Amino acid sequence: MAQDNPSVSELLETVHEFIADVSEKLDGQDKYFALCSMFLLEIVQRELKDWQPSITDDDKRLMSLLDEKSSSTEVIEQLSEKIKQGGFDDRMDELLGVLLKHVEAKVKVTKPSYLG
Amino acid sequence: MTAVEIDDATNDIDEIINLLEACVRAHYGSSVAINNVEQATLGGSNRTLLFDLEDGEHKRRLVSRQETYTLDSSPFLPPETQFKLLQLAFSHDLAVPEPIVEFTPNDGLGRGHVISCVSGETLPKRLISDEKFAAARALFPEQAGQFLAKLHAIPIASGDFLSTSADSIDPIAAQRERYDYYGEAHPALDFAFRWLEKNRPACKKRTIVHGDFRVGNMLMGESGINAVLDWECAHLGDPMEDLGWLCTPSWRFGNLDKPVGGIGQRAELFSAYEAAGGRNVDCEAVRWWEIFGSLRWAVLNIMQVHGHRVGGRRSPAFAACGRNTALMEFDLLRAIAGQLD
Repeated sequence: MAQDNPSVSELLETVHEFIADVSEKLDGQDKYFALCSMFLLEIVQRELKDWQPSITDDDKRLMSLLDEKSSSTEVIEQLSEKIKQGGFDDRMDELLGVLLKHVEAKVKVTKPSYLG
Repeated sequence: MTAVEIDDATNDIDEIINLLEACVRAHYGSSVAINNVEQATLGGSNRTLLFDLEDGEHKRRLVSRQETYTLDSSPFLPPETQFKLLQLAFSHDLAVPEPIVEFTPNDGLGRGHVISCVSGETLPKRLISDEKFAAARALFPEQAGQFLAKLHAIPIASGDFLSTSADSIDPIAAQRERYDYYGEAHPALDFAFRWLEKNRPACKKRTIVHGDFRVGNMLMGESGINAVLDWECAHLGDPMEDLGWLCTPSWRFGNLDKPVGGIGQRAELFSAYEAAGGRNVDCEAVRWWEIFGSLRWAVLNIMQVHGHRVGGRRSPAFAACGRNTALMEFDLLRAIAGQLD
């Protein structure tokens, strides 16, 4: 499923930047482990390049609201646009139900404890 | 939205201190000196220095706030307007830091001002759970209601300088414009915009609205609120907005069963507000503003991640804001669905 920005690659880059910054203030074992951590993040970044996202249940639910076939990124933009144009004004309850499940799926990744 | 570092002021801290001393001497006289300077580490878009102003035996702790970044489409009031607001609030005997002096271009300190230093704690985690603040928590809903009633009683004509801000003209349109500017697609927020527009309550009487009145933006001591800070979101509008923002789920800091700042109940807040002269609280309108609050906070989080990804304000905290937007979406959809108190 499409997640909000930053992308997972951007998140890794952010953490890498922070560790690089902090490592300059460290010495000894802490500095060494910071460099190792950056190395590990770089491995994850390279592995991600080969990763192919699959169509999830959330993607299918969102796609079912639209008439056209779309990728998981496109469906978010198309759905957003259709809502803005009033395309669901007579189906607000149905849309609310699908969007709640969509947002729950995002929260499950961001902070699962928030789901209570 | 691009962040622009302010170039017209020095970043050398020793030089800043010298310039600050010159500024306060111009205000208080050449006999004063500043000592014991401490830089606050929190507060992203300002440089905040605490210092002692000394004149012989007299000593007073003051705070200097300098703007260090400006955003080319900032939703926040400029420092000079914030200072004007503080003067207005202080003159109406509201619990705010005393505004002391505003920087001029000649001061070489950029935009900003000096205010009095008020003691207290701002960290929500401590305020809502430390035993030390138990008495303050017991008083909080009442004090919050009283503060807001007093603020909302200031004649709106006194706040006329706020009337042209986008939030004063139409708060939904203001958020819509910011959200569209960042160019991110969030169907949950698009839904919320439609729902809010469709269910917008009528505003019975417009007042000055603080715009960010919540735990975290006030200094609290063991006896309660010492001063309310952070006036950069103030505007003219529905006073119910301030009550709603205070009860927005994000500002309950995990205590969802305590809508008022994670500390108390709405009934106590509302009755204190009305007893202090605030107009009759429209509970349904406040609920609407709570949902609006989640939307607005989501848009502010998108602003932060936009700054991180595109605007040159790199930070893990701003990156986290982007993913945290889902939490606000969850809050507002649950509230609309009637699943959240």
